[in-house]
Amino acid sequence: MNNRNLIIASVIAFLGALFFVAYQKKIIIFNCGGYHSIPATAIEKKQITFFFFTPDKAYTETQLMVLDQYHDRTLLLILNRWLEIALEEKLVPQKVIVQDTALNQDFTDLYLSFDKVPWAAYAPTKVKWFILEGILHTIKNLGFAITKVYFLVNHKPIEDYHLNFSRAWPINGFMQNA
Amino acid sequence: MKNYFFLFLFLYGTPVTAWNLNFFSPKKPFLLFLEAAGDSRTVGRIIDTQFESSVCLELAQTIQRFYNDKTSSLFECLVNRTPGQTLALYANQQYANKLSIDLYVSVNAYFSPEKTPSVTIYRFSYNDPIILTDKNISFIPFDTIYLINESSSTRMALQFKEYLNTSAHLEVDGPYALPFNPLIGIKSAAFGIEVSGNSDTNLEELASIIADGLRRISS
Repeated sequence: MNNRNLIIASVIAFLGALFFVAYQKKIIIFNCGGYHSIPATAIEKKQITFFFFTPDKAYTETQLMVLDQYHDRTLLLILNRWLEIALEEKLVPQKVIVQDTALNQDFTDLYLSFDKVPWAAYAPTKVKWFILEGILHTIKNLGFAITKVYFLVNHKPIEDYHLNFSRAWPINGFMQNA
Repeated sequence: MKNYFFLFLFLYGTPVTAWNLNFFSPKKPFLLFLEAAGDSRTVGRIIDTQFESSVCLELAQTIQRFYNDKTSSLFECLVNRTPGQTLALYANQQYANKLSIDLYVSVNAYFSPEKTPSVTIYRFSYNDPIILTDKNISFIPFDTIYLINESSSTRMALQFKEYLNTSAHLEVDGPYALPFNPLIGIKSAAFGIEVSGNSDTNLEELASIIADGLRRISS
């Protein structure tokens, strides 16, 4: 193979790889006509109850939300809204978002990944616990089949000195032990 | 024959009687293990001008001083570290399990501007619906070993709270059962306390009350 053919083959391979990366990053999208629009009944509006606990009181807030047909995306919307309300109520010290949610095949295990821990570094254990209890109660109230929740930060188990996250937390939380 | 009979009775009966009266087996002191949160590397939360690790160590050492009984050897208290010491991961748990202690207490602290200090009591639980017993040869996972003495932990935590409630100088909360990290992997009865305070908090008085409570549940 002479040099000219080698150069042509290299350029073609490079362009092919560039095209492949662009397709993966969704810079180029193909519309093959095989996609179906999501039926209107799959998206619903629902009254969602958000639970909040503080060492002094427990309260709820109800809001109308447009939900997705998929449970993991629904949970992402709901939990991000929970965090927004918690920030307004000053229950969390800074803006925290749920980066990702994932469910196992049976829809019983939920993996919840935050971008940072949703409590202050100086917070007492009870405050940290109550933040998580609010999240657990809100998820439980949705009526999904979730039985346990893994709390993660940047897709890794949270490392906290006072609370252990090596295992999943049960959806019922630990308030019944109080 | 008669003489041999009485000699046999004397030689056999005396040590058996003495053993039952504990002449040869003195009562083992109640061994309390205090874990002061943090170490020289993990300083913890900020409490006014100090770190949690130094406040907890000072509190634990003061509790130890009040707890240890100089008149008799019925109570013994160990603190997990000394100032400036760095602990390996799970060193406290390994040390406590090897010593076969009677009670493990984790001491933690956080800042609160309130004048009256509060003590929140925690014990470890993942709400595991199983019962574990301690057998000579067994493999018990690190995060479920607490089940062996779960009932003792609950009982002692409740007794401790009952005593602390009698003090007018403290607010008491708990005991709460949740995955309290300092207590993971502890085989003996264990509970943790989280004390709120600031630079005006009288640590000696607080330690004295806590030590009294611990002695009551130790006996």
